[in-house]
Amino acid sequence: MAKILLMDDEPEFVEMLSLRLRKTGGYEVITAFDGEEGLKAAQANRPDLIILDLMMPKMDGRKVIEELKKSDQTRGIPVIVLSASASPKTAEELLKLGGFDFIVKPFEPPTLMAKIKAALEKKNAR
Amino acid sequence: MLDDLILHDLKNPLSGITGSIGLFLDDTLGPINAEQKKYLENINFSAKKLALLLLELSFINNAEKGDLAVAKSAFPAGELLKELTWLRRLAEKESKTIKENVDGNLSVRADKELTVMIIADLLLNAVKQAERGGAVTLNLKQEKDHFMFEIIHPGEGVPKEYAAKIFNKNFRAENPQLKAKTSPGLGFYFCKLAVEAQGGSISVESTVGQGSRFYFYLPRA
Repeated sequence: MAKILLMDDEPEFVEMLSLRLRKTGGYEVITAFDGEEGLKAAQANRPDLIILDLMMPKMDGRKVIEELKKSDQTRGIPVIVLSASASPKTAEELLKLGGFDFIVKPFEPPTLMAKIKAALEKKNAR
Repeated sequence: MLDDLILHDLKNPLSGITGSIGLFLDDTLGPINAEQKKYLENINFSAKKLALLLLELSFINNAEKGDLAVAKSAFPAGELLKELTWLRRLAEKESKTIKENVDGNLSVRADKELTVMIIADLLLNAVKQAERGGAVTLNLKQEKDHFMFEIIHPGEGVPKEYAAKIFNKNFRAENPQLKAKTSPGLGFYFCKLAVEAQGGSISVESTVGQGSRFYFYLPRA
């Protein structure tokens, strides 16, 4: 069972998406509510995939990606970035920084589930 | 236009609303009765319309700041149709139908998210304009250099003098009957910006008293 780390500072959103990931995708889900907590959770749990919000307190999504890429233990974990406000230009920058994919909120659940599947398949193919 | 941060603060809770309703409507939380489904769907439709509006506002905001980047990729046309399920359901509830003449396997090259939004906006307008029992048609054709998307619907039609202005920002028809059914003008303006950002063009042909054909071209390359 693949393990997903979900980082977002909106508790209702985290609750909803965790349930969706567990019930629809059959994934194990770890949650974090800010970037610092999320980074520590990534280092401790070595998830198969990270889904993170761009705008979070303490450490934003961009900084979390930068830090993940610095460590051998977390560099290879694919990251899907969620954002309610970023422009296509920001999306492009984040993908260059090391993000695997980008999705704008609000989104259709099947779209996210397809992106998760693609990310995990690519990771397993390495 | 709305500030980025305000748009962000509006879109975040909306994401929670649409996501949570989705858990009920697709039976993830177990079966619900018909009456519960009816009202949850109503909430869902309102939330989807609001979400579309906010995404359009966000795009317009970026476009007007000169921060426009479209992300084109190749994908099967069927993926566009999957995103329109809620619109089909909305039409059904109003005793209207959406007929799709789209080859799901046709490989389309476009910014998928933007193209879904354009089609959704035009279909929403078409469903609103059509009378009960009426049908709205979505066609997608591959031409030599372009993909041609068209949305055809019966309805009151658009007078010739408005056809050229309908894609302008904040257009609002002076005709009281049309005014009652037209949006404040941002939807069509968004469609024009989004189509042109992808190198395409958009237009409308209409006959008063009969209906309209909205169509847009996107380049194949």
